[in-house]
Amino acid sequence: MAITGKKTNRVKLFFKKNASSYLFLLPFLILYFALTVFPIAQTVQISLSKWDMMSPNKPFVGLKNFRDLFFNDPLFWISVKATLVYIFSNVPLKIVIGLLLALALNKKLPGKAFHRTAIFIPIVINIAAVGLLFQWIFNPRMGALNYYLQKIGLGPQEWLIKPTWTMAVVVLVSIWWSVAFNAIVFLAGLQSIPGGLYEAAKIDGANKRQTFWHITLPCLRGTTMFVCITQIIGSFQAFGNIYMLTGGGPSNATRVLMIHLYETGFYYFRMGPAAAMAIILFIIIMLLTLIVLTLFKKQVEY
Amino acid sequence: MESKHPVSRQKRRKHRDWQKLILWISLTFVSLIFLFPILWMISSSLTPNSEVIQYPPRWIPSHPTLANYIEVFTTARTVRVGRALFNSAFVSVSTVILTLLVASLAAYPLARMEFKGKNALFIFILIGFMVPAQVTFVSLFLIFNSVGWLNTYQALILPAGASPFGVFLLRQFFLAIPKDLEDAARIDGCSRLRILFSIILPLSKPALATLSIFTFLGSWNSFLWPLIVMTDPKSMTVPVILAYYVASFQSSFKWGTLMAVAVVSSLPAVIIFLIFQKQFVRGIALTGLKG
Repeated sequence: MAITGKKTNRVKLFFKKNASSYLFLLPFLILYFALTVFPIAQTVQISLSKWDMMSPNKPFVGLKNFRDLFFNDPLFWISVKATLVYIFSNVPLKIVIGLLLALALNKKLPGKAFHRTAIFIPIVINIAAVGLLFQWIFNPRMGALNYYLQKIGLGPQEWLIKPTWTMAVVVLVSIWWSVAFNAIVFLAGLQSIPGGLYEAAKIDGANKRQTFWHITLPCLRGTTMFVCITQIIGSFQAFGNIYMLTGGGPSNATRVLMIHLYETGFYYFRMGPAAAMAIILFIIIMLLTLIVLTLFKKQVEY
Repeated sequence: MESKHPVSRQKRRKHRDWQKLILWISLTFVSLIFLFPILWMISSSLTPNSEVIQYPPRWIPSHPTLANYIEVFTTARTVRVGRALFNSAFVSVSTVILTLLVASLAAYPLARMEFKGKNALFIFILIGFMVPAQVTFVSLFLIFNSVGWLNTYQALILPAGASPFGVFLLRQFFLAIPKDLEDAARIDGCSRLRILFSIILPLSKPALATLSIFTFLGSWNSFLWPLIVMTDPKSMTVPVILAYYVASFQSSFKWGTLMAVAVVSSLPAVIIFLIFQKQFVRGIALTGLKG
């Protein structure tokens, strides 16, 4: 009796000391648990079940959904391939162009505000409008681009109809839409390089090229790694730009993982395989994020 | 030494001026390339549908007209754009309010109060930062489906309300606010809640502004989740209604009208960007987060 009394006292004390903090945190924690933590756990469960929208029974089937994806779903491997093609063409281009833009924008040139606004503005246009706009520009029969290409003898091209061109158009549009993000991060990186380094190099008689290769680039190493990995993560999640431009076609040339996941889960309502794909994506992205965080930590330490 | 080579110095400066000029021309050229698609969107939206598909393309329409815009809001096919604009505005503004409220309440004890499990909880919230939202969509869809919340505003607002990024951003900002002000208020018997609302939050305007801009743009431009949950045209947000048009009327596209829809759908986000460009750019630079 005495012991339980002591215990309730301790519980009371704990509540008295901590209750107000947890009250502040309560709204966040409720939403966070209900709409992030629980759904992840449920996704794991669904990925291990035979989940039929109609039937009330959701029997546990182990790794069957994963096995089905790997061995019985040719579209899964097509989508893995399309995702890799997208990443390997998209990421390097966006990093190089982002860096070049940042270097140019960092110079004190007249009309700086105009340059920046023009280059940054596409990132705030919603992807559906972007997709629609470029379907119009790249329209094989009426689009503006083919008219000018025809004039210089390079057209018309069947941009969004021929599989060979489609991925190129998707990557090009993606660069237009979001390369500014990299440019901004690189710009911040450039501006954080101590000016003293450049003065020292000048005194030592280094020319511009030497300064760039031996000061600017090494100082941007952390930024570049960061941009690289966030860009890979973003490319794994790419959906809207591809969905709006091609819908994954033609003949699945641009059917990336997220498009496959979307169709499997929300068009055919095959929740088991869709959840399995979500888990695969989750693991890949978690690993990449952990790399980013360790890199970030290192950067802060130095 | 300087007087020894006046010619070469002058030459070098001239050389540098030339370099600058070439750089300026290329940068301006690139800027125009970035702008052209947007200008083309605007120009097409002001061109009558009969003229818009004619070659050669006209950058300045020979009969500029607002007919496409009027059609967007009056024709049966596209009349839902007005409704979609309202849906988007309502969802985005509500998401901003909810996120600010929930995140500031959660960030305050993490920055200022001592309690058991604080560090563990903070790490737990940070992990949420790393979770790609797409991973939760299958389950969230089933949850909202089972409680009958498909095609409702709360299906879009609530999942965005618990923002680990928001908590993190505000906590960092609160930590930097000097404690003296608060101590004085506490001696006067102010409650924690009042301190948060009448001292801390008014001092945190820059952080709240950054969070609002990011949350608003994120919500306005959000695409995949609304596409999954909003299947009824009446409840669709602007990006989803655009996708819906593409899927429904592919064969009979009227490009002038569609470009007017695209302009209307982008305008609020672009205006916010133009007003808050500095904060927006600083926000991306600080966090590496895309809006």
